[in-house]
Amino acid sequence: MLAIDEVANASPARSWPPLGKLMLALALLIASLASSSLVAPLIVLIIGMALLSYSTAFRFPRIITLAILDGLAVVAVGALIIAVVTPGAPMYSLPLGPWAIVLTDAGVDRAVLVLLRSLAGISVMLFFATSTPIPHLAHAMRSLRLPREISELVILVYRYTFLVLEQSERMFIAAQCRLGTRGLKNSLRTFSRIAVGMFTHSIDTAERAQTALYCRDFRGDFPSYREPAPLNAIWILVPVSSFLTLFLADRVLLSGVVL
Amino acid sequence: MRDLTYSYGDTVALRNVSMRIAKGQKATLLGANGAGKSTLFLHFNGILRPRSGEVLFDGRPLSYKAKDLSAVRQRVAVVLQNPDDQIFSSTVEEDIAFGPMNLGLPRSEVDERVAEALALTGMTAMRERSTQQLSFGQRKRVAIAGALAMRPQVLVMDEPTAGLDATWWARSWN
Repeated sequence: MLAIDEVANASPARSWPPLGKLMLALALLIASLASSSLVAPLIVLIIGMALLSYSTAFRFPRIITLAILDGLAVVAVGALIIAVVTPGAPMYSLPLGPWAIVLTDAGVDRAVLVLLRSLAGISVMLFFATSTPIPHLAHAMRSLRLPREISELVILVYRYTFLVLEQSERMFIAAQCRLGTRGLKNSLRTFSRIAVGMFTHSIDTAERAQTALYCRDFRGDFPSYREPAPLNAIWILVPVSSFLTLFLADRVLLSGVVL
Repeated sequence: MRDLTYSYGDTVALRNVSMRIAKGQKATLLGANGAGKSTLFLHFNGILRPRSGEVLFDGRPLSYKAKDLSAVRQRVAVVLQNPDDQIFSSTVEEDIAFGPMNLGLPRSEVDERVAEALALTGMTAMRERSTQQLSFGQRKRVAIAGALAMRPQVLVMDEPTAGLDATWWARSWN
């Protein structure tokens, strides 16, 4: 399985300061959410896709691609519901027997805005996730003076999520070898046993992990071997100016022509 | 160690174990599954504390104060049976550097120790690889490298050759 961290480690944007990337992603996200017109979300979406393309060339692990598509499906359904339930002048009507699904102009406008904002948000946050290895994220957390317990938890949860996934895959294969998925009844029984097995296995793994940490003189912190680039003036200027530009563009458009 | 006894609840895992390993000596402990070998190893660096008896290092009984235990664990490295229990970092070199960085060593010395441990375990070419992408045998070598990077006086390895191919099986003995 190609992990998201491997994509991040191979990313050309890996060497950018993680705090700078986070500030940029948040600035774009807030600018997109604060706008009332479609322009800011559209620009943020274009910037986000360009950054994502540079960071990954759209090469994602299969499991991440499925997660993204899953998220997009939820967003699309949500936008459709907004288009239908928002009151306004009818644009299109689909008769369904005694009922009809009516799309209103206000509903469509709002749905498109929500859809664009969601896509813009997903693209910039994906850019951050696919260009920032977990140790860099932990380092950024330490730079922000967050409690070290939080960065410790982030690293351990990240690491052990993959171990638990691998273990569940092994259990599933072992169950298949013994016809554990033959028929619905057997499959349900097998899945429930794997779930219970994973629970006890996780506890056991946590105990062994604690032993291993103490064996290596763990002192409550995960130091970074390759420290990421520090935050500099440019990486403060870029997010702030991006936000201001988008915010002002939105205000100017609102006072004149609204898209 | 003298008359060491340890139990998990009511189950006695070790009873009155006494042994002495001289400086510079290579010792192999053989025993059936469940005989208590792994439990015994975890007494060597104070992870487990005996119910009775004592563990001695350099002729002195182990102290179980946090500061003293840290000092012992710098000198006595334990490689666990399952490398997945031991590997925390996302890349090979990050994981090997974990112990030396915990010691607060200067960067140049950490680099030197990481390079040395990578060379000894034949993992130099994979130093930037993701630990999730390694085979079991490679993970085992990373776990051993992580212990070697501590430059311990005593190296305790639990099932050190499990999962290694013939070449590394032979090398690990040397």
